[in-house]
Amino acid sequence: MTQLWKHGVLALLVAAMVAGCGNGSDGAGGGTAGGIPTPYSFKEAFSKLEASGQLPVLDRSDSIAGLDANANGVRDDIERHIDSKPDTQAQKNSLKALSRALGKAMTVDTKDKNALREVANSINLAVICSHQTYPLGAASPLGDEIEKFTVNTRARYDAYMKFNSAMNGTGMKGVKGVKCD
Amino acid sequence: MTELTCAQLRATFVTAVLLLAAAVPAHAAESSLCETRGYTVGFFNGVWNTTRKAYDGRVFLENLLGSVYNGEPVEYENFYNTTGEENGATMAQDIAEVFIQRADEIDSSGELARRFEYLWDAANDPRRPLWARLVDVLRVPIALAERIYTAISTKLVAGFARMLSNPPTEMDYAEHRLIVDRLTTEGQKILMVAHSQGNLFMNPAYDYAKTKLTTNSVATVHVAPASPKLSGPHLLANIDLMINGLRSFGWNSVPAINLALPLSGNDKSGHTLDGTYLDISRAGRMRVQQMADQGLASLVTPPAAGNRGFFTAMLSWDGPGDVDLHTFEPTGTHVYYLSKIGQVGALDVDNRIADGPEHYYASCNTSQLQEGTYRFGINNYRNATGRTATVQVTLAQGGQPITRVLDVGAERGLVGNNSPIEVLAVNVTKDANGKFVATAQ
Repeated sequence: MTQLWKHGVLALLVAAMVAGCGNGSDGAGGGTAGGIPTPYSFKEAFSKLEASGQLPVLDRSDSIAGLDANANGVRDDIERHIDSKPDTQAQKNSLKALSRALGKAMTVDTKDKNALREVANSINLAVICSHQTYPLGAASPLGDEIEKFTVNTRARYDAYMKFNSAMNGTGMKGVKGVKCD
Repeated sequence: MTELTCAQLRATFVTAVLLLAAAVPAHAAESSLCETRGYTVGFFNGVWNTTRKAYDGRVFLENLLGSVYNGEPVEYENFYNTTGEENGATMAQDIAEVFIQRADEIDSSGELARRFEYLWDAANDPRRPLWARLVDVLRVPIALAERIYTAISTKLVAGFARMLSNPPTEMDYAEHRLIVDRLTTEGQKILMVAHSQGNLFMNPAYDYAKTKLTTNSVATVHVAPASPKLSGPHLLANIDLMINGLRSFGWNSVPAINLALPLSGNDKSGHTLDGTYLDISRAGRMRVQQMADQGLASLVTPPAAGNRGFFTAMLSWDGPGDVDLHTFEPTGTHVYYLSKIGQVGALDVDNRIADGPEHYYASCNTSQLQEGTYRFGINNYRNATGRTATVQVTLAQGGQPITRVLDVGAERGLVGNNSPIEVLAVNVTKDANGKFVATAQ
């Protein structure tokens, strides 16, 4: 019995040490992912990625529009992310125009056909400019990135998909000679 | 004026359509405000494409095929379609629920499930940087993220299979038909390119275009088609998990695989347009280009009933009867079936029997085009009561056409000529550089 008690204490101590070491991590609490022990919890992992700049710190407020302190139509977090890129100003502008248009898509009255059309035209022009300013093949993944960072909460996703649904069956004619600067 | 006299009068004007239309010089000889007649490539986007992604696909296609073919301009238009059964974005809700459920299974704290940026990549390829960095920090296998991808893609394939069993209805592609009406009326050669579920929308658009043409002026290219119905060459990759996955939902009649591609590192589905079929580093891109070039080469110029214009207005309705398009130009000139030539444009297609179209165009000539407001209206002249009319205005400068759907109202005969039902208006102004710009009111 004494031996069992001693072994039990030892096992607990070892377990505590392993947990405390966090698998060689910098002392974070650890967690699990799908039942697999991890050195960090998801929250800690996201914080780590955000601190190292591998993941932008995104606005997750309840507001669909999010914070836009300079009122230029581009959410501040997205603007910071775009500005942090080494791209040319014209390239950054095309991404900001896209985020601005997607922001409008999430807040537009989907019963207002003129407003819907205006938003669709804004998205179209932003897409054209991103292709015009980036090298071949580079614009599409960047557009994907801006879309996912802009539409980053459930409420924003729902609003955005409502817009896309309202667009079902519509047409869009390409625009030539767009000046992107 | 008796009914008979009126009918004779109208017939006289109809007989004179070509002469009258010719009175306003064709745009090709006028100026650069409009493109000359040529080709239009219509792009029907794939499954789970947002509007942005669909426009992106169109531009991707434009970059591949170019803006000139055989010395004639090539224009590009989206025929947009979403995945889902109704305007409530049901499919999107399903995908969101699947993401939340699976994310919670992986991370019971709920932190992952609230970060919807991870949904977007999980739906395409969890090996993209967002997920790759996360699993790297957590020191877990990427297979964990792939669980979410598998669940979402299974949902998407199921939704796709449902669409195949319940194909889009006329209501879903009503506006697409209007685009076809305009293109065939204006004598464009049409190449339709569909990707994925876009094939379900392209097939009826192609069939409809054939009914409007007496010449071989429309062709198709099917990329990653699921439907066994093909009206042109197709391309289906061996790595396309979406189309091949349809078989597990009992849909065994997908077209044959005819493209072998190596796996890529950013499109696990092997299905997306930019990530697989038009990927600049793999063979699909060249095959799509070859098929499209063959399609373009096969097209002959159809006769044009209507002119192209700085903007055009098209009226159609859903059955027998005579509905008239009325245009009021900025100076007040009333252009309609009794007065087809205006100061700026003309009614160059008049229909008195059924369906339409009626077609007005504004001149592309800078010396003839006027700034100001152009108002459009309709009148149920005869036998169209209960019909639904659609008016679509398309701008040469591009952008989304302006579409209005309305009841034709009560039959009003000649009386209605002076007070047609107002539908919409277009403003033409000059910008700071003196360039004409049209906007819808």
